[in-house]
Amino acid sequence: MTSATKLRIEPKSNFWPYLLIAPALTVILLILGFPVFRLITLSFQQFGLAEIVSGIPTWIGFENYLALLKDPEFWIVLRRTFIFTFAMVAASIVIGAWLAHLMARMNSILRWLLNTTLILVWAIPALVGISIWKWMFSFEFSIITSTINRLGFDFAQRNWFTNTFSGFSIIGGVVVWGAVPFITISIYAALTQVPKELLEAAAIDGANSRQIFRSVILPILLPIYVILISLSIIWDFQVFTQIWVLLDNRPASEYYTMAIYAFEKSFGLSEYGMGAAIALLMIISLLGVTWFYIKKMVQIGDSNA
Amino acid sequence: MHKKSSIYANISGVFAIVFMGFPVYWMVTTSFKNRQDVLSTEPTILPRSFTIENYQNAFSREGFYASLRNSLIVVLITVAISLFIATFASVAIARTKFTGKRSFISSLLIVQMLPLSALIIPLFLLLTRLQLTNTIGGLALTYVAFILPFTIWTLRGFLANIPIDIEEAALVDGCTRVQAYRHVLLPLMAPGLVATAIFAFIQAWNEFLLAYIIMQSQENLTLPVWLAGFTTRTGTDWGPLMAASTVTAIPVVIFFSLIQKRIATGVTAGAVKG
Amino acid sequence: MRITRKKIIAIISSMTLISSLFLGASMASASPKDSGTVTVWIQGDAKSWPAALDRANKMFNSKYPNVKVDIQYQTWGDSLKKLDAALVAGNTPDVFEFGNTQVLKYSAAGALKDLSSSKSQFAYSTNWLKGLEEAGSYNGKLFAVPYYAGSRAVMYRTDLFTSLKIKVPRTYEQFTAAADKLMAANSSNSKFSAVYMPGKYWYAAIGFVYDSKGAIAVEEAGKWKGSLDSAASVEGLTRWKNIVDKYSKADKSGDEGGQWEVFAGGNVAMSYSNGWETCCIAPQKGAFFPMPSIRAGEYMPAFLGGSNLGVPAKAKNPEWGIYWIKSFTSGQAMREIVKVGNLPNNTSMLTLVKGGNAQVAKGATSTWFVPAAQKWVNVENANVLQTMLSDIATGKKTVAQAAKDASAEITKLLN
Repeated sequence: MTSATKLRIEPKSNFWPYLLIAPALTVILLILGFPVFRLITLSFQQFGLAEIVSGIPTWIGFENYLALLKDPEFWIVLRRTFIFTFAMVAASIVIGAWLAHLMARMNSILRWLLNTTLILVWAIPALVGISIWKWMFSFEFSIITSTINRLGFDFAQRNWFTNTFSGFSIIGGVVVWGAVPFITISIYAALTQVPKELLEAAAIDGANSRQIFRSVILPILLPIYVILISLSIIWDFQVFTQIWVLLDNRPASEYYTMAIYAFEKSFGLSEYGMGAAIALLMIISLLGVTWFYIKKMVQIGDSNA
Repeated sequence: MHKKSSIYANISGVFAIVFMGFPVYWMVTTSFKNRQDVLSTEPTILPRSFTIENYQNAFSREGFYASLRNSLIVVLITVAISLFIATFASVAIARTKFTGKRSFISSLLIVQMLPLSALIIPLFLLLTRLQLTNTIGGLALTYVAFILPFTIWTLRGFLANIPIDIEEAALVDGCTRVQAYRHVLLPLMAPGLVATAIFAFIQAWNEFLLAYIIMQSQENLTLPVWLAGFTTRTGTDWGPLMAASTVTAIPVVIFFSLIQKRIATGVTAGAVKG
Repeated sequence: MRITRKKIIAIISSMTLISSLFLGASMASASPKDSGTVTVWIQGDAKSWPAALDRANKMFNSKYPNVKVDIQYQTWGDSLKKLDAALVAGNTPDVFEFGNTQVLKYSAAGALKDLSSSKSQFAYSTNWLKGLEEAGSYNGKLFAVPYYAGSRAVMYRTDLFTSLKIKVPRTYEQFTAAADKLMAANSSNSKFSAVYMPGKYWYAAIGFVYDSKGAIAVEEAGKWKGSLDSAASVEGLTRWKNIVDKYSKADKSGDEGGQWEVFAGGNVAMSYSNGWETCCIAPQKGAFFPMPSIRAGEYMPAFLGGSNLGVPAKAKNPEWGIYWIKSFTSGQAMREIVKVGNLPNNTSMLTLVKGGNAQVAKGATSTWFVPAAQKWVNVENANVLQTMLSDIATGKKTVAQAAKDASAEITKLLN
C-alpha cells in the first residue's frame, strides 16, 4: 500500500472526495455542530436554573475557567482521571489482545464458546451489566464475598467500596469486562485477515514464528491497535455510568472523575456554565496529553491516500 | 491463520470463558430463580430454584412489545444509514487526497471526546427546534451522528489494510471503478463493515440517556428506557429485570450470528470474484 | 476520473434519505382551546395505582372531553435532567412530579406556575400534610400541590418479638432494651442486626437529631447556618451512633436502598422502614410501631417523604395541567393511592390508612423536613449528610468532628 499509492492520487481540486464525505459531514455538523457551539458559549456564562427560566444568560468571560484552575479539587480529579484511564486502557488492550491471539490457536469448540461469551457480554445492556456487577459485589447479597468465605477465608460481609483502591479495581473490572469483547473481536477479525499466502511464503523462506509475527502479522495489526488504543483512551477517559451506578448514584468525592465532576456541577448543582467549562477542559487536557498520538493518527489517516 | 490448537491456549480459553461469562451466567440463572433465592444473603453459584415467573412478569408489563419494536426500528435505521454514509467517507479518507482532510480527521477524533452528558441540553434544544423530539427518525439521526466518527475511522483502518494493488489489478482487468469497488473492495471490507455494524448495533441498542431525553410518549420508548422502569422508589425488581435483560440480549446475539456467517462468505466470495 | 451514474445515484439517495428524515418528522399541531393533549410527567411508581389514574382521567375528561391525557412515566434518576432540557427548549409538560426535596429550587427559580389563586380548588387543601405543603411553597406562595406522602416507622419481626416475649416499645428505653434482648438471644449469628441501620441512612439518623431538638441548619437574619454541631444535634448523632455500633450489622458505608430485601433474609429484627416495605419481606412477617421519642409519650420525628405536582411556568396548557392535578388529588383518586400503601396528602384521610401502615401514619403526626433553603438540593447532591454519617459510623471521625465539618460545608452550600 505504499509504492502503488502514487498511481492513485487525484488532483487536489477534485470535488469527488468532498461528495463522498458530504453526507457524513452534514449529519455530524447538523446534530453536533450547534450543541458543541453552545457548549463553548455556555462555558463563558453563568447559567443556572434562574437563567434557564429567564432565558437570559449572564456573560462572565473566563471566570468559570479561572475558578476551576484555582480549585485544588479540579487538579486532584484530573490526575485521578488520567491514572484511571491509563490503567484501564492498558488492562483492556493487553487482555483483549491476549485473548484474540489465543483464539487463533484455540480448539474450534472453545473458540466458538469464547466468541459467544464475548458477544453475550457485549449484548447485555450496559446498565444491566453494571447492575449485575454491583450485585455481585454488594454488601448483603454478594456471590463473590460468599464464595470467598466458603473457600475458608473470613471476609464476613464486606463493602468493597470503602477502600478506594478495591473500589476502583472493581470499577476497572467492569470497564475492562465491557471493553474486552470489542477489542478481542476486532483484533481477531484482523488476524483472520492476514493472507495465508504471506504466511506460507514467510514459512518457506524459513522465518520462525517470531519473525513471521514481526514482519507479516504486525504490520497488518498495527493500524487496528492504533484505532483500538485511541478509542479506548477516549472512552475510558469518559467513564461515567460504571462509577455512577456502582456507587449508588451518589459517588463520594474521592470517586470523582472528570466526567462525574462535570456532571455533578451541571445537573447536581445546576451550574451549567461551570459544567461546560469542565467538559471543555476535559477535552483540552485529553488533547494535550494525547497530542503526539493524535498527530500521529492524523498523519496515518492522511498518508494512505 | 488457524494453527493447531495449543494446550496453553485452550486452558487460558476456559479461564477466559469462565471469567468473562460469569456475569452473563449470573444474569441468566437469576432470571430463573424465585424471589427468595434471588434475595438470599447466602447466594450459591448453582441455582436452588427454578421458575419462569420472572419472564411472565416481564412480558406482561406494559410496553414490552412496543419498546422492542421501537428499539429494532431505531437500531436498524441507525446501522443502515451510518454504515452507508461511513463507507463513502472512509473511501474518501483512505483512497483520496483533498484539502481539509487533516481537519476532517481531527474533528472526527475530537468529536468522540465530547462527554455526552454535557451536550444533552443544547442537543435537546436543537432537536426541539427541528421538531425531531419524540420521533424515531430524530433519535436514529442523533445516534448516527454520534456513531459516524467511530464508524468512519474504523472503516478507514480496514480500507487502509487492503493493498491498493488489488483494485489496480481489477482496473487493469477491465473493471470500471464502481465495479472495482463493488466486486473487489467491498468484499474485502466485509470484516470491517461487520465489525462496525455490530458496534453501531450495540451502541444504539443499549443507549439509555439520549433515548430517555428525546423520546417522550410511552409508545415511543426503547428497551433500555423500558428496563429502567423496573426501578422505582421502592427499589428494583431483580428477577424480572434479569429476565427482561436476557430477552433483550437475544436480538444482538441473533444479529451477530447472522452477520458473522456473512463475513466468512463475504471474504471468500470476494477472493473468488477478485 | 470518471464519475459514474451509479455513484451519483448512490450519493443522491443518501442525501435524500437524510432529508426525508427531517420531512418525516412529526409536526406539533396548534390546538384550539377545547381539544388537544395535556402532557403529564409522573414517576413510574404511579403504575402501581392505576385505579387512581383512571379516576383522575375520568374526572378530567368529563370536564374536557376532547382533551387527551398523555401520561409519560419518568425515572427518578434522570427526570430532572429531562425537565431542565425541556425548560431550556421551552418544550415542557403541563404537569411534573417532583420529589418533595427537589421542588423548592424550581419554585424559587420561577420555573413553576404560581398556583396560590387556585389553591382552594384542590381537595383537602385546608388540611394538607404540613410537610408536603411547605415543600411545595416558596415565599408564602403555592407552586406544587401535595401528591402523596411516605413516612417511616420501625418495622419489626413479630415472630421474634413473640418468642422473646418482647412488648412493642413505647419509650426509647424500652426500644433499646428490646434491642439488647434480641442481640443477646441471637449472639451466635454474626449477621444478626437487632436494629438494621446502614451508615448512610440519613432519613433515620437526622430523626435522632430532631428528637434531641437539634437541626440540620437554622436561618438567622436571612442567612442559613449549619447547626449539626450544636450540642443538641451532637447528642442526637451520638445516640444514633450507639444504635449503629451496638445493634446493627448493616453496611456502615452503605445506604438503606433495598433494606427490606435484607429484612426478608431473616437476619434483621427491626428496621426503620417505609410503610410499604411489608409488601416485600416474605417469608418474614413484619408489623410496625412508631419510633418512640426520648420524651415519654412522644414519637421521634419522622422524615416526611413524598411527591408534589407542579405546572411549569412555560407549560402550553396550564389550565388543563391544573385541572388534571385537581382530578388526581381528588378524594376519590386519593383513596386509591392510599389503598396501595401510601400516606394521603392530607391529615383527614390518615384514618383511612389500614394495617401496618396505620402505625406509620400515627408516627407521621410528628415529622421533620429538610431546611426550606433555596439551595438545599446542593447539600443533598454534595452528599454532605451521607459522608458525615458514614464517617461517624465507621469511626473515621468523632461525632463532634464530623458534625463540625458537615456544618461548615452546609453553611457554605446554603448561602
